Amino acid sequence: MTKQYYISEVTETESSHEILRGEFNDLRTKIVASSNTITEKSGEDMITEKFSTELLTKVNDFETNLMSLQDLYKPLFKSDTSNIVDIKVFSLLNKYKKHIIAAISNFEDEIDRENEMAQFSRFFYEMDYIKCDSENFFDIINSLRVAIISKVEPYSLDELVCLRVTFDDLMRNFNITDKKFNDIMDKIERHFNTIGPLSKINHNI
Amino acid sequence: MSVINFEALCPEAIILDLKYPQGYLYWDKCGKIIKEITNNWKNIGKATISIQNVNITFPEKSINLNFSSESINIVLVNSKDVNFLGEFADSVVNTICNHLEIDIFSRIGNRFQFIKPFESADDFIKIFGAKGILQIPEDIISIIGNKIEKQKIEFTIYKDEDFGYCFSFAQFKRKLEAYTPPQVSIDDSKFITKGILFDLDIFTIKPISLSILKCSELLKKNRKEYESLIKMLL
Repeated sequence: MTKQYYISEVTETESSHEILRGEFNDLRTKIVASSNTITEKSGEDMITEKFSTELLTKVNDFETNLMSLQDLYKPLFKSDTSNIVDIKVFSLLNKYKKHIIAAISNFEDEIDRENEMAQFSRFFYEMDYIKCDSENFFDIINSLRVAIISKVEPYSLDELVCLRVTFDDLMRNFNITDKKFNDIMDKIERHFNTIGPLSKINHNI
Repeated sequence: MSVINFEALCPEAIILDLKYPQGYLYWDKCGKIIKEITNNWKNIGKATISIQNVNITFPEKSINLNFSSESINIVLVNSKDVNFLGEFADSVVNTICNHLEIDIFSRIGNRFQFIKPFESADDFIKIFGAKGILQIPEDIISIIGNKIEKQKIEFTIYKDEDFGYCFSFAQFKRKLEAYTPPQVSIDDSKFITKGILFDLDIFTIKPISLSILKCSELLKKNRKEYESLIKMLL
């Protein structure tokens, strides 16, 4: 029997919005319920309706009005340069690290774990659009890309922990020294196939 | 030309304040957070815990961390070292938000408080009068009294729909109160008792997702803006 993988589009931010929306709706229901007894007597249904509509508008504003990355770090003076590329890379690392953490916490549930990692693999496609100055950083990303894309078997816990530690290292500083580069690469090579199809070559021929 | 020398100002406090709407897990995860922070940062002080908030001091680096179900507050006292503050903030904000399952901040405020020791009681009027920020004609003051006391200027400017800037300039007088045994003396020669406070709060208006927040970058950007604005205004 083939397994059915359901890839959810709901991000953690969106799920947080959903919780918040739920809480507002609960509050709204309570207010409407308690107000009805008053409004029946006073005949001021319009006030209840207006209040609940305003609450929902506030929730919508909160959901749709998130500040963008560019706006948060835009300099006050146009002449100032901002390292927006670094911030973009940081935010991508942060966003996709959450899938690794979720995969580790749901490790026993194979479908959940592999779903999270399927969503994680989108990281490399998003990184394609970013150009960063640090060559060592991009060499590590490329090794991970080969390792993840050529992977056909389910993830082991060691592999997931290795990915998480690597992401933590990368997030600490993008300007990776040669020594740090070697350390990280050693770690990745111990757990993943970073040479793709070349690993199948028979060296004895 | 600037009437004050920015480099001569003394750092009083740099504050990073992050507010979030859903920190209900504070009461469940408090211990785990403190354990992780104390493991990550050696020489950090003991935590003071209450139902309302947790306070952790980092005496070596003059940092004070406060967090609760509503906000995280990190204060760097008497130091200009924004780089270390940023590194510390990145780490603790990440730890706290992971445990409290927070991914949206409703407001991020970053305050810079620098002070200029008093040279004379007229300093405030000299500085702000010279730039036309405070101009009350002498004849009007003389009708009411002799001079303006407790001088203070406070105003907020909204840059756009993303950021607001709250300026506060005030004259202050204070004294150091420390209770020690009679045989112990404290050297308070470096404690500024009279001066002018240059306070700027740079705050966000829209909610912010945790995924785009890097405190160190935000602090560096805001520190640069504070310096430029103070130099430009005064």
